[in-house]
Amino acid sequence: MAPPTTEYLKDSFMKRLFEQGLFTDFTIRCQRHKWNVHKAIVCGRSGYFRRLCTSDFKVSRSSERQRDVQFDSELQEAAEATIEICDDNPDIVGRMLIYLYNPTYYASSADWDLYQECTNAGVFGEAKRRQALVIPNDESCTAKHLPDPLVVHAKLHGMSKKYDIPDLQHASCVRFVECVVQAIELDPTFTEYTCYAEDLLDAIDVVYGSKQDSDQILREATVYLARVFMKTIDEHMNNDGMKDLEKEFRDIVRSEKDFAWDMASIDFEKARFTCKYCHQDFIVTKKTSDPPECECAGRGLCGRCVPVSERSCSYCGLPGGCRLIEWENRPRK
Amino acid sequence: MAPWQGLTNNDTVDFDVTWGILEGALREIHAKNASKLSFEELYRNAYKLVLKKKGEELYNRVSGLEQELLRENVRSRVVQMVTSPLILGASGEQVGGQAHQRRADGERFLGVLKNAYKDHDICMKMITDVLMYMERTYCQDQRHPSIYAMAMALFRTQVLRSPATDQSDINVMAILESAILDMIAMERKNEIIDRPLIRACICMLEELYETFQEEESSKLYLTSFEPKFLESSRIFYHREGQDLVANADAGTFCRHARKRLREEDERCQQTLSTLTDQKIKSVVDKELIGAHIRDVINMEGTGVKHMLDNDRLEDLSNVFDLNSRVDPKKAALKDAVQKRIVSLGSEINNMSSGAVVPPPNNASEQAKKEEGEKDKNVNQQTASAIKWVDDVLTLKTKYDRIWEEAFKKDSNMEKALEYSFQEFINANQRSSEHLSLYLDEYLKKGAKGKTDLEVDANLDKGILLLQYIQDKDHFENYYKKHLSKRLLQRKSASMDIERQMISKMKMKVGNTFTQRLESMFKDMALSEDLTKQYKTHVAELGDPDTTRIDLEASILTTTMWPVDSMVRRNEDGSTKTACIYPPVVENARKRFEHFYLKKHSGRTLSWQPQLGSADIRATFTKPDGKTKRHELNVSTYAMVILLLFNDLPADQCLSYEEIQARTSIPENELCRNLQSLAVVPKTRILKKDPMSKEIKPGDKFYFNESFTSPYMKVKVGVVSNAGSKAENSDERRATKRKADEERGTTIEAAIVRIMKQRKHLPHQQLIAEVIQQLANRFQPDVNMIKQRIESLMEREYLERGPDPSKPSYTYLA
Repeated sequence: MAPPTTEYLKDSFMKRLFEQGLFTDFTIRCQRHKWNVHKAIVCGRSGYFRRLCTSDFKVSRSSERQRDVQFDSELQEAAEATIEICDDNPDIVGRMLIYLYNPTYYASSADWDLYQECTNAGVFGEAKRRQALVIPNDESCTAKHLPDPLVVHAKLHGMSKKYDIPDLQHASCVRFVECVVQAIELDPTFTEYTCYAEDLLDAIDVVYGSKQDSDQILREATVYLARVFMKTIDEHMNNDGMKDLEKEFRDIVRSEKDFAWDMASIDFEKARFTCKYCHQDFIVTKKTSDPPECECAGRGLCGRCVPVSERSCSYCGLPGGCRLIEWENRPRK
Repeated sequence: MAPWQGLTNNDTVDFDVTWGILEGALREIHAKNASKLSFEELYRNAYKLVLKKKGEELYNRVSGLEQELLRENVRSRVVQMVTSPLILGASGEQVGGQAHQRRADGERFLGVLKNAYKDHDICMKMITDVLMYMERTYCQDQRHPSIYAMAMALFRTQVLRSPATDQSDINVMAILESAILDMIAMERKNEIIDRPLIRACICMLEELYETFQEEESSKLYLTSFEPKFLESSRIFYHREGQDLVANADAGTFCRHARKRLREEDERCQQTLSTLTDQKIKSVVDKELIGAHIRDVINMEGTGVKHMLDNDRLEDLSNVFDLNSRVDPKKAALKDAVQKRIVSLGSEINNMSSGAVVPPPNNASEQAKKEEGEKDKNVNQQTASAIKWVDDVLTLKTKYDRIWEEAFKKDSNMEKALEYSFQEFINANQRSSEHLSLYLDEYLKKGAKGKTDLEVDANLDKGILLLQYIQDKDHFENYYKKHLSKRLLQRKSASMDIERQMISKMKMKVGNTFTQRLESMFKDMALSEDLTKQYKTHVAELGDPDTTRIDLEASILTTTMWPVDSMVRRNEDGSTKTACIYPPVVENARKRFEHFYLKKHSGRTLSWQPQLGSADIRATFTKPDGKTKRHELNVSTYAMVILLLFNDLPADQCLSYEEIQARTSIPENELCRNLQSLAVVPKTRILKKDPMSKEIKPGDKFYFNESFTSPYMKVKVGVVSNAGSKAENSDERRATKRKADEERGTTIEAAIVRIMKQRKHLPHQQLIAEVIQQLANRFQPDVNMIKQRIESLMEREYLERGPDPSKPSYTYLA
């Protein structure tokens, strides 16, 4: 996995602000971790924190402080506002905060290669992690470690939806799809890297699970990858590890009804779109090479890209056209 | 994306428990206890519910809760404030005695409603924050109105549109509106009202909509309150306009109307909404101003006429502003101003022509006395001409100032002013003459007590008037006449100023107009050169001129100079001007003629002695034997007369008849010159016997040896020939006849020009084009044009078209 890191921030001013915790005026807690952050930055990108900081609700302070005593006594002096985030994975919260301090989603296209190297070379070791001050040296964090980018992107996606960070929502979504595409290209049979299969199973759990809400695109990409996985099951017969994974997969299909339904119903020859403009669903079959159209097509709007002809996508914000559309239009194996 | 139906199991959330937490919190928020609640906890709970596909239920529960709270708490609080005076006010009954009570009740009612809305608004904003996740996913996907919009709509239905009391059908909204209108009515009666309170309530109406779509046009303010406000204002201003017209004077009306406009503007800014700004102003414009402005402008005694006469600039500017509000053309004001200018202008015209009317002539009076009176009249006329121009200019200055300061330099008004000046100036037949006389007065040497600046300014103003004169050719004739006198008699104050005048006229009227005037200047310059050449010529001849006559000749081109008008007609109507020159002078004359004709062969020189002047040196021998010399500047005729005495012994005399015979100077010129030499005390170079004022045949003249003067140089003016005079009626008739002749040729020239170009033209079009071409110079008379066409056809320049029903002409080359 690509561990959370501030490396990409280089030696920027933002990086120093975040790592050294200078002039922070707000504290975010999650389980036993805490981050000192800047309201100006956090509220600027997240609707949730903006509302939190501007509303008249109680700002948790005193009650939290008592708990602080055993954990971090320095903080007592700081008269900073504090928020306790329950229910969320501190690892993902950390990644989200890094994103808030970062001009772009850290998983830029070069990151994938970097990730490949790093997992082997172990550049981001435990020591490095601790140094980054992002994820404290804590058992609860490292115990359930996330080896797979799909799950990270999916979780970040859910997080961004919860905390109203539209940039991150789009960026993680695009990255998720990109990872799916890349996984299929690298190892279409899942024989070389069993970790892809594990990743897929975890991703299904996250995307279709009840802990978060995921966009349709994520679901479609997941289903697409799962179909590829199903088709190659025969080739895994000799692989013990794969046998277990296959069994797990079947369990998931049985338990996640939404996933099972999607597996059966999504027809990749027909893409369904919801127009961002008129909110109408419309279906486009892949056989026609025309770009998807809805009733708004007259105005140059399609379901996800506005307008299609333009070189940069207004949905995913990527230059050179939308990769989501590209992905959906690519020839199927 | 449609929400995924069906519930996935793992950590199930009990809806009722979670909702219980949320409901409690929402109630706390409404009870203003939000600071006890944790945002994070509430958000997380709402998030969980939505995640578990409970969005719809949550949405419905929240709206149910809001509805209940509004109905139970807010509405009851508001309705408590509804008192019977308010209900009576809203039902349209006028209860005069309870005004004070109603106002107090109204303010209390508005206060409660305002606070209720404010609280509701704040609470809903907080609740929206808490339920943000639901809004972003559930509401958006299902296209439900946002919680906030839903709650605002509930406020509309549950509070504003609910019945105010149990038994009546008047709702809270009606009471709110009538209370506000009531207060505005009070403010219009100069009472102080609580503006911020009303503003807050208006804001509430502006923020509430009729529908969930929240279109601009469906604001409650626009759909409900504004029409009522405009209607009540309409009634109010309708009544006020009638009262004011009946009871107030024009100035007060305008000030009041402006005050009302200002008030309404302020009201829209501070009390109501800027959305209404234009609408309420158009109500005021229509009901108060538009309906009455014409009456006000024409109001007897205090209307625009009164303001103009008394320089009430402020009032005038008020009237102008008001009139321009309702009528961009300002027709009413324009009419009034024009009427006033034309009537003042005709007064000026009448005054000047009144001064001209000669005193009743007694037929039995002697002819000479008549003559003298005529001269006096002429002087008076000059003065009255100048007075006329002065008066017109004063009027113009006054109205220019009014136009600048009160009418904001409006172009419409400018046109109206110009038009009315034109109208009365051209109504005066003699305006061209008057203007030329006026300019002459200032261009002449020795304009007494006038600084250069003044002269300049006055000339500029004179030029301004020139624009208004239609018969510019008449003006040109007069100006030429006056100019020639100034040039020949060297009376111009400065040639520079003369030239400036010409160039100014050129700018205002155009090239053709000044062509002849310019050529007059050219003649003068050429003459100067010629005189110099002549002098060197004489010197080269080597014939020393014993008489030492310096001849300065001005050669005038006959067509350019108004020679005819410079010649006074003799009594028999002839224009004989020649005279017998003394031999020395005759020699010089002949020599010059010879010189000139050699230079320009084929030309004819005709001498105009009545225009010339001479410097002669005279020696007077006193009785004590001493001699005294004077340089006399006299007219050419006077010079001829005086030279007769050169050869005469001192004690001898010449009779009138002798002088006439020896000089053959035309009779009237002779009379005048003798008068100036023998009668005027200061220049009495000749003695006359008998001593009387009039020159009669048989009078005897002696050289006056005892003539004295403190000055070395003595200028002998010619009686009543000096300076420019207004014309007497005979002269005017002659000038008119001449001008008409000139016009005739100008028209002919224009017709030929047009026809040459077009070859064939219908009658009407030809006349129109002629008028258009000549508009710059004068207003041609249609009859005259017709005459000229006839005459041109006789001379076979034109040919009538074949069809007599459609008269047209063809040009014959």
